[in-house]
Amino acid sequence: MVLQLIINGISLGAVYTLIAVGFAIVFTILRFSNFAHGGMISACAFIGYFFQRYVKPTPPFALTVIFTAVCGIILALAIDFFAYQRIRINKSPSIYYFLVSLTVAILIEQILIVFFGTNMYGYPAVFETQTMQIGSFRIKTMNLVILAVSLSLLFALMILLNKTKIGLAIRAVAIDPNTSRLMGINSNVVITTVFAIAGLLAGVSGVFIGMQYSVYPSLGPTMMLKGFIASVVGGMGSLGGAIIAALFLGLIEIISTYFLGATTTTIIMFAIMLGFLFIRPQGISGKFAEDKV
Amino acid sequence: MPDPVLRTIGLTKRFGGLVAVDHFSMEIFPGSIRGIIGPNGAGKTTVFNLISRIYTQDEGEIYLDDVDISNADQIQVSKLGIARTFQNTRLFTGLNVLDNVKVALDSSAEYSMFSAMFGFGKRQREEKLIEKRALDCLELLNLSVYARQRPSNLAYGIQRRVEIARALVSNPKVLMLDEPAAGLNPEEVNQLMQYIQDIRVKYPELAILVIEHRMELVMNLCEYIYVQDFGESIAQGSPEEIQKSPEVLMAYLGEEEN
Repeated sequence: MVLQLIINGISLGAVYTLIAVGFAIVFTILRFSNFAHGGMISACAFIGYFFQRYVKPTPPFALTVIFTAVCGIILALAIDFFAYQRIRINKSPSIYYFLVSLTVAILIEQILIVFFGTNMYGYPAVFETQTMQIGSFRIKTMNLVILAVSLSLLFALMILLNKTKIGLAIRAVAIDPNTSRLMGINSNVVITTVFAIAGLLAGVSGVFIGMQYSVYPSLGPTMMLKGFIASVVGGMGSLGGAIIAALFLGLIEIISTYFLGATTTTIIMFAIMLGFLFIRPQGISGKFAEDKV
Repeated sequence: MPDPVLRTIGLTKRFGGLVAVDHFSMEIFPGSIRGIIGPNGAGKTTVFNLISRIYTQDEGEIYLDDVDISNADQIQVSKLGIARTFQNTRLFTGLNVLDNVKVALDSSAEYSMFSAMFGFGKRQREEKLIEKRALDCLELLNLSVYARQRPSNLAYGIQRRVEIARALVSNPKVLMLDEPAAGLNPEEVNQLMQYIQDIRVKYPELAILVIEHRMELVMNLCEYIYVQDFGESIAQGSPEEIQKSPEVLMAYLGEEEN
């Protein structure tokens, strides 16, 4: 039983890592909390749902994930192009980013409500077997797939950031955008790449979250709040910290929901975030505070 | 005489009522090393900031190999081959020494998100090449042992050398050193001069422009010197000529000895 809870918790946490990283990677480069990420997750959850449900013949699940990820990338680049680019060109203060991102998040949610109402849409079953027997444990196939895909994605992202030159450029711009420009790094390329990564992560996490819960317009913002908590607890702008914090949050949520119920769990999660802000405002990694000094 | 690789004509920059740089004209030839000296506030670093496009000039022109770069941006001049170091070192604190040097190579290779994700074999060869060039530069400045360390853990003199390595790695046409000897002890200054000589042997076509306060360094290294005072050019010439110039003695050397 306990092991089953832990696996479910890590699986949920793995989706949170995707959300938290998608949120945090934009923060590292542009230093603002991209609340539009929640809207993107909702939109992608709907895209994945309709693709899986209504495309005939029924596409394999992997295709749904890839299709939604591509839509997520396009959506993220479109949001950057229509909403954020102007702020950079005008060199407006970063509070504008924050306001625009909130506006975009609400805009997407309301558009989804206009078209689909506030109903909940349940994902069709995509796996032939709902559960898998591992030793004496029964584990949902979905949770295993989510865990495997999320961890591989994170692994690929870490390779991209740590082993490639575009990754090095992203890290350099995150540390010091002014000096980066003098080194010939084109920050527009870096920003576009970062939004593409965030869109891809929003696409994949949208499908997974939609499967775990059901699909509705405020799904993304609700979930993104958890990604946000994870990135605060992890240390704003630190991807490693966000990943660790998101995995822990998933675990705590599943275990606490099992023993205390869903309502209490929400209170506990926010209490953890507040506690972290009091005791260790720099988060697990402490990177943000270091940069600020 | 070959054509100058870098040339400024009547470069002027005002900050409010203050004229930081007043009609500064200079030229530097491939393989040569020239210096800009002057007391604090003479506008030396402003000249570097104008050439590397941190500031935009109010008047004047800048040419790199006869290409007008007066309106270029920072990324363009860096790609065209002007590299620099900073008075206060500006290394990336979160990256190790090797990555700090590799950062500057990004511009010389083609960016593509798709080739970053796919095209695996080609990309790997490219990454290898970047790594090798960065390691070569570290070796030239005797920094190989620090490759995996964070710059903040290193002595100031070593950090300055890392900046020089980072500036060199993209194989620039012009290297601008902004007070490379500031904060170094006399022995480190001697080492620095040796490193600069090594660089000149390794890169015979490289033009080096130095801003410096330390007279022994400027007089030993530079073939030609521009003297600035309150934004104005008060003298220029060979080290011997500069040392004899009465204006310079008044404005600069005399002042320092009092």
